[in-house]
Amino acid sequence: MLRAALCAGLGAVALALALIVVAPAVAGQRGSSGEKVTLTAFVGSASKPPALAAKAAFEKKYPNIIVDMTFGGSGTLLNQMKLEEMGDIYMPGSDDYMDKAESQKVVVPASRRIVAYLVPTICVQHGNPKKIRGLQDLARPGITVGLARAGAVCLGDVSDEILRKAGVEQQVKANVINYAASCELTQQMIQLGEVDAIIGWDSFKAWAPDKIDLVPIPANLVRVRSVPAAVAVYSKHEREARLFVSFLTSKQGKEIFSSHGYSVEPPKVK
Amino acid sequence: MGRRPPAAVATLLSLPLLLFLLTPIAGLVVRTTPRSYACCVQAVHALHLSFFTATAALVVSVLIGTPVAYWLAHHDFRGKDAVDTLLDLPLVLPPVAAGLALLLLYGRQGLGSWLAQHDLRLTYTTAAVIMSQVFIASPFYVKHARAGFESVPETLRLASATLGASRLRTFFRVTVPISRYALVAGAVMTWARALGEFGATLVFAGDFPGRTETMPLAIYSSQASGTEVGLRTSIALAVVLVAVSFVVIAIAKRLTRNDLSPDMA
Repeated sequence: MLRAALCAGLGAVALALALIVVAPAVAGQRGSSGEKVTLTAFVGSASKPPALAAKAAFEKKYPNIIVDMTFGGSGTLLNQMKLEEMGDIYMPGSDDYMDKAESQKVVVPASRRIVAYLVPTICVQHGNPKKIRGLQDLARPGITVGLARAGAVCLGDVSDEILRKAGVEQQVKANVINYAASCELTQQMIQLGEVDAIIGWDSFKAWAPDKIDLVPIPANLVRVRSVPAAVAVYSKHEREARLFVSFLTSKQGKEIFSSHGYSVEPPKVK
Repeated sequence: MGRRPPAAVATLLSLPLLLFLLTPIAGLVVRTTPRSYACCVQAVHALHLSFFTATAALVVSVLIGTPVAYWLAHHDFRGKDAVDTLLDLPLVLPPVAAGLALLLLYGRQGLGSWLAQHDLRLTYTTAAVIMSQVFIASPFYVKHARAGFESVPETLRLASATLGASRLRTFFRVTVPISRYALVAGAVMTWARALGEFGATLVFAGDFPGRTETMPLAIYSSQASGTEVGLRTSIALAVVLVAVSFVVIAIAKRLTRNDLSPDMA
């Protein structure tokens, strides 16, 4: 009985060790077979739908290149790339994370491209039942507001900047019932009707066109942001990685992002 | 009765798991410096909120979970297996999915619309944090409590009844004392799980500093900034949470230490 238990235990340990040793070697073979190149792209999860569509189109155009995508919060992805010193492409949800990636020498600055543009706007429930016409209305008594979390989400920093410029930061924040930890959770608040308004991106409407209306913010208060992509300094397939980044900004790539509600040309903010 | 394996062998076989669990935590500690912990002054609110909500979730779990555990332990009925399986669902449901389920039920898409008519709200409140933690952690308490109640000999409960004690008196004077170690173990597990709850809280209660930002959310927010400082802060916060939780759980176990002897095994 003891012998059987010992054998079982040692066998389990041996199997686990074997898997740990073999797995990276197997994974490596896919990328180094000589026929197919595998790229790893770290993509902000808000860009998931168009990014997956772009991946499919790119792989169809270049059958010898596979783009593996991992999604998550832009800051989390940056940490992962930095700590593991891995990745071929970084595509965060907004340009300020790319600025951080550049300053931390995670990406090749010359490879940076703008994939889409993000215009901050007030998002309200469909039909605008609370008659919100501008930032001042977000401070009205009884209005519930949702914002993205500043410091953790670019949209949060943008929202704070806009409210500060408009001189209504304290008043509006008195109506804030939640600071969301991601762009998607920010958008979800208005989509599910949990708040009367959020400050979000213009592309949020495309995610739920029947649930969200947009109220523009004056141009003097708005700084247009972007969804960027760049090649990582850790890339072992820089040529292919640059090819993918170029594809994202090509006519075909722009059509894909545009079909998902993104602005792909520099917007004229009203 | 079989021979016990030598202690050295048992230790050797235990090492892989122990090392696997302990080394990442040790890795967190060695990556911090005294300066890293300056962040923790700002995180006092998050820590306080975590302890408050986890304790509240435990109290709620005990209050509503004890009758369920007793019912399952001492009653046979049609559908008992189904009920038991239902209670396991929160353990296998991804926490984010659980949070979404709670949001859709108690938010404006569900009961929240009725609450809104009465100027009430559950979503994005401290109550939502507690509800998330109860949903995720209460099955731990129920499972342990049920096992404890089942371990109480039927003869003792019957003897209590024949001596004139009511069911309630028997429960408090016989059942609970005998099953107390299982109850405490379940309570510790429930509290620990509630303390570490993240996904359901994030979706249902949000991340409002001072109101719903628990320590797990504070750790996430810090590392989500993508900066070196944010990463170091999140590591320091994680170490603080681990250390405080370890102390609390150790004290709880120490206070209720049960000396297992062969005839009790």
